Amino acid sequence: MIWRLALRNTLRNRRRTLLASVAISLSFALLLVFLGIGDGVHEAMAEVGVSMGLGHLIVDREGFSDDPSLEHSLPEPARLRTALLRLPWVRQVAPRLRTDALITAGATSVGVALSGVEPSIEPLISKIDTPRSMVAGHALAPPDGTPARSEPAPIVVGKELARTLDVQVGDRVTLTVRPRGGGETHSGAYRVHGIFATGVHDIDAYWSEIPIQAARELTGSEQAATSLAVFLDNVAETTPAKAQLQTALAGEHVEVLSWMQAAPDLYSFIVVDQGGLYAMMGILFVVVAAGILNTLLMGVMERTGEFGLLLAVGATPRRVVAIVLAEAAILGAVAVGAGLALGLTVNHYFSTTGIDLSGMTGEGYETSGVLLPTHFYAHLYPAKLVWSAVLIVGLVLLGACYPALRAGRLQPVEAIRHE
Amino acid sequence: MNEAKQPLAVEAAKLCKTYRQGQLAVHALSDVDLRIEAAELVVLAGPSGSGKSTLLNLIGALDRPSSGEIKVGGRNIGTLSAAERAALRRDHVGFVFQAYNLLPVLSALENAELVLELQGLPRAQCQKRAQEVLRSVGLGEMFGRRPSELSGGQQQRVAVARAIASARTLVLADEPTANLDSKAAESLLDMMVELNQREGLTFLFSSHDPRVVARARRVIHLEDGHIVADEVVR
Repeated sequence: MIWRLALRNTLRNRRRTLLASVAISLSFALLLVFLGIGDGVHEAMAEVGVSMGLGHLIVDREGFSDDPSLEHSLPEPARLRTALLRLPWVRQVAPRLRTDALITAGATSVGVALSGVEPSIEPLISKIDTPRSMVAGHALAPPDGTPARSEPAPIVVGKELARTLDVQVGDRVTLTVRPRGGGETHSGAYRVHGIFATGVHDIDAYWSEIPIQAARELTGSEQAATSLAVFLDNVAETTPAKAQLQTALAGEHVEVLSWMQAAPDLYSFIVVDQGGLYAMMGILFVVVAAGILNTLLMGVMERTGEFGLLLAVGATPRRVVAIVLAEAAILGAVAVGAGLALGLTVNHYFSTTGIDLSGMTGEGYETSGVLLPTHFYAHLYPAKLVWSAVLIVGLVLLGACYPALRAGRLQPVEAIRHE
Repeated sequence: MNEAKQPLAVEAAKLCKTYRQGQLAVHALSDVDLRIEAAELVVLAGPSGSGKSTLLNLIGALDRPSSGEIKVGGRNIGTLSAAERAALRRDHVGFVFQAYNLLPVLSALENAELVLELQGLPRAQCQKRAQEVLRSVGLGEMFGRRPSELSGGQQQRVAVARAIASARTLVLADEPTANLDSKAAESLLDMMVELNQREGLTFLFSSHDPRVVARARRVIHLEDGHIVADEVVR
């Protein structure tokens, strides 16, 4: 009886029900679209950050994060890499040997971050040493997949670094590093194989990459690597994957960092941006809840006599409360259904066609050390969708509480005479 | 009609009801003593403000007395909790109101079923019983009609059907003919008298309609919250 009465009452004032449903469904659809775009943008930012010399997860030797020197490099990276690649959720593992270096061309020297990379792997996961980033020359791995053959060893440098050094593809530069174990600095000659442009100033001006074997020879590091960058299918898997990796590598004397730890500025930016989005949605929800409360309260006040009758003929106050809450639940369910359809449709459009911001941002803009792409794709996580639906229905029921309690507390004698 | 000796339907002693209007105390009922036998047809008569509706509300467990005692079916209303009074109304007392008070979103059949469903009976059983009582009040062809599709007299008949559907023994009718035309009022009252005689239901009317008074076997006159006359007229 509760549901029958609730359904009929919901359909009674169709215009009011329609307006309330539209308000709720639009809010819900808006929430889904905002969540989808927000998560899509944040995911894109994280993926860009991850592909700029990081990884979803970074495996270092214990103590490396406190003292990032060659002495704390991983002694057997190949064995660890093989073990990590066996994990089903690991997409790729890239060994890297990183150290500070001085790069010299002619009379100009610049301090840079030097990264020894595996040329056959990097194009698969990096936005630095990849053909698409090269504005001149080639990536360390030539297009046909065979290792670059050049004597001296190849090096790729950022566009701004190349300008500072006044070098072009084919020019020679000298790298000077402090070798593993200390002692006299080591130097080596390299030929500029490619010039990359990522759009991120710090990388384009102070970053260079050489094959990891060349880096090992330069630094006297034998088969070592300072880190293994682990890549997953999706940035959202980072946190659970980190826990699993820590378990899998227990006893290896390594530390596992997530990209959030390795790039705290980027992570903070995303968290703050998400917070802003949630705050905005929170305000919207308060407005929606107030609207629901108003709609249901009007409905209850209009039907004071009917609730009085129900109480007079023996309905318990709890049953009367349940009728009003059931009306709210029906309203919420219908509105969530409509909002879901609308929100998913719009999300589908934004997740397939994307949002092109190139008209506003040109080639993209840099934020927290990341060059944001000009084209974003929405990505709505199923868990967030479910939680959003639960939140909206909960909000509608919350808005219904006061009208419902008011109906349940009516005195039948007075209520039944209400016109 | 059942001729066997039945317990008292209503019993009141020294019944008082006082309302507060700001600082003012309004004595709606004062020292009312009353005994109504089962299967009686009684009219509470009196001018507006005499306390008829207040007494009806107390008998119907819609309100609690300020002092004194009132028992309905042997249960003392003053000692019952709100939930117990709701259960008493649901299971033992039927109401017919001046304004019909049907739920507009329910059909005649569903309105008649309402109390049965509140009692928790299975839907099929509710429907069967509601159909029986609607037929008994002459609405056998109007099960599916909403109140807005019924005349005033028909709506009041549905209200009577709702009041008697759950086999309750006491029906309280507050000015049941006030909104009806003469023909509909006569027809409704004849039907209620017939139910009283055929089913042995106790009817207690609050009314100053002479047509109602003319059909009563007992008329209790109220004035200023006091019973001023209690006469058996037939």
